[in-house]
Amino acid sequence: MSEFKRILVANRGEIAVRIIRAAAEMGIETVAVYSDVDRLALHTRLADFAYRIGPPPATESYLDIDRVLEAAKKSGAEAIHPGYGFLAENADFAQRVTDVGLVFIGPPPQAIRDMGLKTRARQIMMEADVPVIPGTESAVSVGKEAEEIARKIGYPVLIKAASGGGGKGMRIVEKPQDLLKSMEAASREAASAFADPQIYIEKYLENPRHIEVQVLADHHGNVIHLNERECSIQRRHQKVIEEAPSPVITPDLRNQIGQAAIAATKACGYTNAGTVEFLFDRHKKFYFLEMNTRLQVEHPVTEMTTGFDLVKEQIRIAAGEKLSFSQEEVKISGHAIECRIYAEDPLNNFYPSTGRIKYLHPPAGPGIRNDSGIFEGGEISVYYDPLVSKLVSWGRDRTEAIFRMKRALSEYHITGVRSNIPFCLLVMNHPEFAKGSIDTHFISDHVRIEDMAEGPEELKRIAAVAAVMANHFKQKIPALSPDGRIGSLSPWLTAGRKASLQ
Amino acid sequence: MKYFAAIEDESFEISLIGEDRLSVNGEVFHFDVRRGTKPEHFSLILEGRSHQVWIEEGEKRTAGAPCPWRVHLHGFDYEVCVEDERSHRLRQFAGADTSSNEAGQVLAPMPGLVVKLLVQPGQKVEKGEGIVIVEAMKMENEIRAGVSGEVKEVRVSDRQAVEKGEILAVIG
Repeated sequence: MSEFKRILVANRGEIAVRIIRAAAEMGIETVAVYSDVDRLALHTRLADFAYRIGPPPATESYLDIDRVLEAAKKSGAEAIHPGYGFLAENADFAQRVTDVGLVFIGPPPQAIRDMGLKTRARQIMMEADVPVIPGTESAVSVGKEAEEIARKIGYPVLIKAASGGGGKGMRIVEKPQDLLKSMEAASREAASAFADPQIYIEKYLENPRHIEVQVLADHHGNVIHLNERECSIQRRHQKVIEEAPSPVITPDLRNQIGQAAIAATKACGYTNAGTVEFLFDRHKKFYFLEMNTRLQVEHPVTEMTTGFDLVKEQIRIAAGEKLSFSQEEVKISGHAIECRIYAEDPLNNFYPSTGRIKYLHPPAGPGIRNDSGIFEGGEISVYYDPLVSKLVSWGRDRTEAIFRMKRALSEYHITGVRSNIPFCLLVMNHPEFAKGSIDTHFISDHVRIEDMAEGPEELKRIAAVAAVMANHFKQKIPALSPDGRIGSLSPWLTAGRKASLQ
Repeated sequence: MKYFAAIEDESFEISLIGEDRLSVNGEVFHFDVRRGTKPEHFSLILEGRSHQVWIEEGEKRTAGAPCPWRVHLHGFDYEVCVEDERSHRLRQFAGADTSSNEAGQVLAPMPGLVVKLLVQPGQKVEKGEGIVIVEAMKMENEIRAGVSGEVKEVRVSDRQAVEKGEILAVIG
């Protein structure tokens, strides 16, 4: 089968830039789509072609299937890469792309559907002998039956939305008397967030680790795994820091969890890139959580430790080629850590920080990769998520990766919007993180908001001096003299002399 | 020239001495400051140690001196309140009452939609307690009280759209 000549990227920001770069390296032309606020975005400017698809709201642009397909038609693209988020896990979109004669760079629509409904995914996994968290096989209604099921599973239990994720429609129930009330609340939340009130019950694993496995499957029956990623550092069920490999996975466990992931992939007829998520408990048992039928945000840590380019592989698979490497060629080289840099204010409860980026100085140097979709002068708007960039460090071992990340974070400067850089640094400096003692409760257990402004003592003193200096010059507009000294006659000197005259 | 700077509960008394020295809480340092490549960027050498500092306008409100500066250095962020000697003396003599009501205002930090009111007028709240939940950028954000006290007013209702900086509630 021939390779594609032109592909459309149905996304924006960092991942759109990532896909455009991979395609450019393969000699494939790219088509960008942009909303009105993204006219000058990096992805719009880097692509070979660009088509406007609507006003800023995602529902009227990046989520508008008709407009995206229209742009594909006009541009002569042969395939569409959906990235992550937006339409990436929309089975209808995947189907419609195929219906109009284009190739969807991702899994078959049915696999997206099956893995998208959590209860169905559980059924498929159980049939494939993939270990799942003890729980109900299908949706449960409030009532005596639910009480009996919860009693059998054993408290504490977790109520989850059948059609959702991200923490919505989720409730932990410690005591039997709270069960029915929690089920009703979870169902209401699920109905509101996912238009589906169905919920199911699972055993609640205490302090689990979130470990996921990257898989690749082509259309020739080849299915391989590219090791695991540890994604336990989460805030409000959203991943913030990820790494590969996981500090607790031994080669033997890696093989077991890898085989389970391959079985899961085959069980739902999956092709292209995907990720099988597991929860790993204190007894070193792992359980299937869900499958993400797309390329994930944290894929760089896998790329950095295996040396393979996942996006290029996705494009090759979609073009009908065999996987360009075998399971035997997948090794682990060193250790990689990723910090998601968000425009949020860590000193103000992590509120999203919108605005124009005035100054951007990302880090560089050995072992540093920064996947970014923003640029100086660009805007973090209310219409899309506030991801600034993905900062990734690689080291020969976990310790070097941590020190490199610390070094990179302290070099990363952004003005115009706030960022969670101080938060990431706090985690990197935490002794429990250094030990690898992490689980999904790490942030709530170990990180306090107050710590965000607790650097080494002398830094506060310097911050105070700097602020006083800024205050002093607030009313003046100092010219930048040739030697950079503030003002030709430094106002500090003037103030100093005045003071000594008193 | 003397200034008073505060970061959370810590305070610093900073004075200029001559042309190239300053004192911080009595300790004397040699210093040299230059503007960097952008307006917010400064290079500060204090007793030989070199520091890059980025300074922007802050936004946090606390009872007491205004906090206009957000300082970023070595990967850490600080909110710094600064006042000169005269303002500092005035505020001390007048007492806590002259600290602006602004401290008790609970503001929307970004445009969004009110999805839940967590308190009622008359209710006593602690600093840091949740007052209102505002949905923005696909996430629910709990807006918290900056001071302890009694909820005097709740100015918004459920499902109301709010602008950045809009007053959601007042604590007195």
